Amino acid sequence: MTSAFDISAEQNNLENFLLSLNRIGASDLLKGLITSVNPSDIADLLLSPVLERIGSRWERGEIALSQVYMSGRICDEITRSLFPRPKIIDSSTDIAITVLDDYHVLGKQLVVMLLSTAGIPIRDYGTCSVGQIVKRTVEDRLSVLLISTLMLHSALHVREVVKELRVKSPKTAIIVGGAPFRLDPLLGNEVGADASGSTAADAIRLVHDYRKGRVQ
Amino acid sequence: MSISLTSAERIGKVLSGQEPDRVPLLLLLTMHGAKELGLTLREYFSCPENLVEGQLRLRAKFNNDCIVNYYYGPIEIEAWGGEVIFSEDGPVNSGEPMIRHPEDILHLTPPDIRTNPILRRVLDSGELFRKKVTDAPVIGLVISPFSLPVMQMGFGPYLTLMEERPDLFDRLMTINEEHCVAWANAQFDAGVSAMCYFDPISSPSMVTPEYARRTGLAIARRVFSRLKGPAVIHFASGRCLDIMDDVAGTGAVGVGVSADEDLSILKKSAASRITLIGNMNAIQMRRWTLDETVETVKQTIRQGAVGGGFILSDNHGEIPYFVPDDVLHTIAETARTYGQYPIYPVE
Repeated sequence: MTSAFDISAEQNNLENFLLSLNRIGASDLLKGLITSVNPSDIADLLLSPVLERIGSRWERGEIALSQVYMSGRICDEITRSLFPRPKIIDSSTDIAITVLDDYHVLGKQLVVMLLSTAGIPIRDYGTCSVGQIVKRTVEDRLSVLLISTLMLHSALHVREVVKELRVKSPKTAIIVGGAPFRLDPLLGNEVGADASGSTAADAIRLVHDYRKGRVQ
Repeated sequence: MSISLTSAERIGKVLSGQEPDRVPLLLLLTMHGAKELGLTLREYFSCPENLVEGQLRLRAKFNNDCIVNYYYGPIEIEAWGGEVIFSEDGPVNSGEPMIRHPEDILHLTPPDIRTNPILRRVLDSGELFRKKVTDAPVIGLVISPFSLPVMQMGFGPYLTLMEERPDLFDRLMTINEEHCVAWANAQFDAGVSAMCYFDPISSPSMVTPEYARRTGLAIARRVFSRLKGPAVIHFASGRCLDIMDDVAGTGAVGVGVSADEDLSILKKSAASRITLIGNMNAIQMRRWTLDETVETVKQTIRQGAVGGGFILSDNHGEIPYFVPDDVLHTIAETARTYGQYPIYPVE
């Protein structure tokens, strides 16, 4: 059951509310829709596109990372209170995210928030070494592994993760992201990842692409 | 026959608004000294004499116009009692945040600069450089009061603190600001000649310009007014075009600029008020061919160096460990060949 709503107008309104940290405006907008629009349509047609747009605007230098982070937080808080959702951190899902060798976890936190807002449950491995990532990926039989790094040397160590998983878990799609991959778009290919994201919001698109068979 | 300046004279001319003999080169080689001495990074950073020897060898090898009295970014966190993580092939990283709950800020005590053994190491190498180096600036490093909390408490919790607990945010800035001024001035007393003030969070890449003006940039202005020597502000790959007027008004003599922004537009915006430092992409530098290296240096000089007001460097403030020597040699040689003044704009 979904009645028509002006998608473009509501996307613009939501984006403006989020970037100005207007929690009440964003909440009222979503509350106004939930009586007539399916939660999955709200996620697919409104939340995910707006958060992806916000991520792209950051990459173009139009807005600040603080706005991206708080937008994600606000969406996460509002949707938790309004919609029944699968558990955000779900130990039964076959998608996981980790930070390699680093405690700078903002990128990972953003991806977890954005995926949960989009209704995609994910396991959060926290900070792991190469060996820990490989072990957990194999044990949990992951279909998608998202790896976030801040430092170049950590990004280059992804090569070791890829090498082991191609043998031990060949069906796992490996998606990478973080500053080194944004600053050097060729780096993802170099370390052997299946896909690379420039912003946290890219994770939504890449996970959807995987599910449609575009990331293999 | 033109007379070649010393590195100190060259940089001095640029910072005072004049054209030097050639474009100065700042290769911020914080880790390559370990390779020169055949040490692990942990070994290299453990002893001031190692750092001094490494920097002197690197300067001789690459004809660098500076000495870097800089160990690693989280050294201040380590001095505060926080965790740092060493690796074999990359910069030292901060570990688990030392502020676990916002209320921990109420009990936060900065390290005693006079007695802390970790900070003492930095001062010892500064004093050694003062005796050994007279023809090049010795650059120290401080993390800004506004950016240090990323390591103190984690980036996400810090952004939340800014939004939800302005009282604790203000308290943290007061503590950090006093520490920053004291630490920078201790380094000047030890022999450092210029300070690199690392402030990525003030960049519009991180917080809105309006917020930075009320917070990070206001703090920078206050800090610089209390320092015993000149400072450059560095945004560690963060953008700064939208706040260039404010940056020029902080009192900084130079600004580290990003590879994400057009250097010629940045130059126009700086309008001779502040020296630009940058903006080669240090992440991509690792895989440049020598031809790519030459072209990048030439283009960077053409965009940034006309009329002076420019120092060639990388855009992050630290050259990655993986950047090979032949690329660094090529950067230095190309800068020397194509950076001779006068430099004319491209038609």
